[in-house]
Amino acid sequence: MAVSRLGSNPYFIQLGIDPGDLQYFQVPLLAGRHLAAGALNEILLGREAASQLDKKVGDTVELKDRTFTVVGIYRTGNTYEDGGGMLPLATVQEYERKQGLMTLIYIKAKPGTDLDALTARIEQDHPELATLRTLSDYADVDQGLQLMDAANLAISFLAVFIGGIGVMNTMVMSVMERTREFGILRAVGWRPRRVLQMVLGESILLCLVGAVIGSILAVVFTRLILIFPVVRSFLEPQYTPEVFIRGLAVGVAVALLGALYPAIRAVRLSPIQAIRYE
Amino acid sequence: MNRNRIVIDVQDIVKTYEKGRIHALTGATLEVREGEFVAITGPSGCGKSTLLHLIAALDRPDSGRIVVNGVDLAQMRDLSLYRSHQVGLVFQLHNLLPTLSASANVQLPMYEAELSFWQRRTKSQRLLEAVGLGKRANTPPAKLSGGERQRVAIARALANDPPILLADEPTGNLDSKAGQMVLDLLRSIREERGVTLVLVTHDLQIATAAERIVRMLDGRVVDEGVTPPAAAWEAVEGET
Repeated sequence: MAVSRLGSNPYFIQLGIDPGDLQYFQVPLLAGRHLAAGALNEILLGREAASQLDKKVGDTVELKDRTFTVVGIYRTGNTYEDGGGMLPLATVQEYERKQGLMTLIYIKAKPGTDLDALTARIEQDHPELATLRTLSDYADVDQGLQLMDAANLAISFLAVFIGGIGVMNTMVMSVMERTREFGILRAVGWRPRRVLQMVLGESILLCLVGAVIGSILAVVFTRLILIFPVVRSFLEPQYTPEVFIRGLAVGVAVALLGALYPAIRAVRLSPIQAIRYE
Repeated sequence: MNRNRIVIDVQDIVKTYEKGRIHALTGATLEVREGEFVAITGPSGCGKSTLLHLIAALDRPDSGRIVVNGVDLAQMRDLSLYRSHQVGLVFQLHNLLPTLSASANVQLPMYEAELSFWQRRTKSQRLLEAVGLGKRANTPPAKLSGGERQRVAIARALANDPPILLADEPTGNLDSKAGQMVLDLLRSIREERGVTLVLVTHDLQIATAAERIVRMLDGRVVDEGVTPPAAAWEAVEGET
């Protein structure tokens, strides 16, 4: 596997594969044909890559100072694969200067094979190898992906932290501005608990409305970002219920924290102090 | 009603602010009987509003006792209940919530009385009609005149039928005509409902409407006398 710039995409993924092995992967073709045996300057483009590069079967692409002919366009449904291309293994090994080396070896076991035993034996005989059952396990062994996950987590945390500070600040200010109103309510006989319940209830309602609007905007903006080819070939948004629930929970928690502090502070003042508050 | 029963008994109240730098009350003592109409007057800064706020339990004194209807406020567990049911408070600046209608403002004290939505609406409508604003129930305070806002505030003060009405300079921000209307309203409410009315004012003309005028000076009550004849008022004005 190799990654390099192609056109406007700085992360064009190249999967080197022996043309004779393509039959095992059953790569679905949308147009053209598979790589021919022995051909060194042919390339299959993923559907996303072909769209970004505006290439069709018969066109050529310049990659690693070489010219490759597009012989087919495929679609596997995997973002990485569909944003990249498939080339003859020997060609990729040569221009990457990794002759004889491979990134991934696929093993098709006979029906009934004990996969755990097979995995254990491979790892015992070849300790330099890591075995995977599914492609999603790749992230557990690939340091690059692990770094990417860590960076993703750090950026997400930072975004939530900064956004949370903004939300909390807004809630603190808006509730503090109502200190006088709370004093009047206390003066006409409202218990402190009722005032706090009112503030909490309003904050939760505000959070829910904000979360719905925020979720809609998040979907809209992530769709907008996918306009850029480099993003589209690399990222695929996941709109799972878990994502929205997590966002809602964080928003509610932060807003309540921001609202509770000034509200508790306000009801601890005597009513006349709160009424005179400016 | 027992006109001899003392409903408000203020005993030697001291109140300071800003860590003792400002002496608002320096041993104020006052008795108010059931059904009385008492005006508390005095120069600016003499402590009359502070005294009223302490009787309304909006703040706590540094020392002394305030006993209302036989209960020491310092021993009272739930001052919110006292504020919502025992006293009705009318401020100088009405203190209506601007985002609520007149009716919604009047209903505010009723939440602690646990009335239903329809009970609150019906009662607030009745109170607004009693103060002459029945047709302005859905109007926000911003669209009411100063006198109308003060009448809404009076209706709010009566929301839970309190036996004691406390009014802090209720006509202070009004012109003479509106002020007289508000004063007449307070007097008629007192007569119809038999409430005890304590009114703070710096205006001697307003004060003369009361049964008894209490004069304060430098944080103390200096005269708990009755409404004086005109000649005596000239002497009082000369002193202040």
